[in-house]
Amino acid sequence: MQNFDELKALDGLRNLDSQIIGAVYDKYFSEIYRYVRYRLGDEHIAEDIASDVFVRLLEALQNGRGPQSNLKAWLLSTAAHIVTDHLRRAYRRPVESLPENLLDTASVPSDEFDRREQTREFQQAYAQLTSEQQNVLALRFGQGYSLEETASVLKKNVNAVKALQFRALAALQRNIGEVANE
Amino acid sequence: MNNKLYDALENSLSALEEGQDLDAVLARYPDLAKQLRPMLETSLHARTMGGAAVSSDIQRRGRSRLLQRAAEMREAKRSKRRVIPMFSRMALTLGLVGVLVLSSTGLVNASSGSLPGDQLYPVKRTWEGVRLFFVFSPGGRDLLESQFEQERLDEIDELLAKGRSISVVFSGLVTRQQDGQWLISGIPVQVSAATRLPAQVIPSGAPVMVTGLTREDGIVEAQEIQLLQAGASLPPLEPSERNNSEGEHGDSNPAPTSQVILTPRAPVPETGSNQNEQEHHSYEFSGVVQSVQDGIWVINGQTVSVNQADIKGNIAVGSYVKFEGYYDVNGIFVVTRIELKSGSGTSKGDNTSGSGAGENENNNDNSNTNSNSNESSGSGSGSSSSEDDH
Repeated sequence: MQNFDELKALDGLRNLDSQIIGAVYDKYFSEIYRYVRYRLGDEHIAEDIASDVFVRLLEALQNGRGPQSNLKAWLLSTAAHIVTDHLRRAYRRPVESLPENLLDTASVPSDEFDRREQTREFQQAYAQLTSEQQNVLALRFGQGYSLEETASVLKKNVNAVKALQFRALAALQRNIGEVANE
Repeated sequence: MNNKLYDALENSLSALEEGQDLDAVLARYPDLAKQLRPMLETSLHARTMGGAAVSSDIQRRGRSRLLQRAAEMREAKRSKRRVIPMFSRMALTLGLVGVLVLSSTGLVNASSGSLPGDQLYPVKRTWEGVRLFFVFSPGGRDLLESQFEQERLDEIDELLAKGRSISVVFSGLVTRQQDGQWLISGIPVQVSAATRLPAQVIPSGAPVMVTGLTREDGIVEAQEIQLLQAGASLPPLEPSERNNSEGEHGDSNPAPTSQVILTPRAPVPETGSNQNEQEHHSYEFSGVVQSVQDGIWVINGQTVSVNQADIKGNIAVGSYVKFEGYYDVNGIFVVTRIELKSGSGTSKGDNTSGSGAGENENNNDNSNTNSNSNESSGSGSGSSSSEDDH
């Protein structure tokens, strides 16, 4: 969407125009959903949070706030905040996972088992990163954004993003090793 | 060094994204390959964690939820719009009423000094009608009517003083009849052959309503004089300004600030046997004694003669009294009986007449207050007590 179109879209959202709302949703929902799913590794929670991001967009615009331009950056930034809040609440009220011996692994093919194990290790290692490191990895490798796009969303300069992704990858690689050795 | 490493990482990531082989990419940075390899392998791993595409079910559910919420917000917005205009209308109405009241108040204030023939005079009379309309107690209504009659006298007095010629209507007591020159509540009235008079003779002291024309020589030329019914509201004895001027000449005491208005009522036909009193119509008033000098007292600015009065109680300047009497042929009010009203500050041990006791109780409330309470002091006392006494 061009900048001009985005301004028109914002006007339509402010007027609660159903067609505009539907168009904006169709354009950005999958990106927001995938970002949240990457950050949390949970499809159900990702669905709820991604939907909530768009509701918040409408509410913000009705209250005279919300984005003045760069709608996608606002949506991703809001999603990041909601994810952070979610993780904070989850940290305060941890939910114990089922003991591994109760999981039925016998009927799972070995390839699938390995894939699941790798995913678990990755998510565990990823969860140990800082929020900023998680964010840059989600945008670069989950969303496939360029360095410049990522810098725009994170509101950082390109060099800062280069340094951040370097440290994030280094930390993730270290964490995966640690998780695998546990 | 770090920047070189960051740049090498970024370039390698871009190359991998373009589909190049990991070893081929690392071959470009042989001195950094050892550091870059695990990071690039981790990045490839991270890319695989993106997950599958968003299912259409998830997308549809989210869309429905969002549009539902938008519909709710639209409805809430419409409700808000409905509420705001309602308040706006109320505020506008209140504002208009406020402006109307303020402008009306200003108009009424401006009209208060108007005289018959002035442009604002109808406003003044209309406002008097409005005030009367909103007085529900009979006593208060009587007092207000009497005050308005007083206002008519004051207006005529001013018209005469200014030498303006205008049609007037007023009520008053005939206090003097000498040839064609009558004195009606202090207003000199010329009665001529052209004046329409009732069939019966109008005696001195009779309550009348005069329709006439003010003349430049300070006299009202009567066009018609009608006798009033017993109990009709009448103004005080004379115009206010005339009373004040008389007070300035006649007594040394200043006029009281809390003026009690004398509010006589048109007398009812007398039934008593006293021949002396039958010759005159008797009136009863209440008021504050302002001056006591020989046989001439000033009560509420009115000069009265007490030479023939039956004085009951220790009456002094400042006493609140009830008195009754009649107008002699010279227009002087001759007091036949005067007594302290109950509750008067100086009335220690005063005795009141038995016939008026009940009425006095009613008037006590009035005597302790000022103009507001004068309503009933004037309204009820004159006619009813005269009737009882005679």
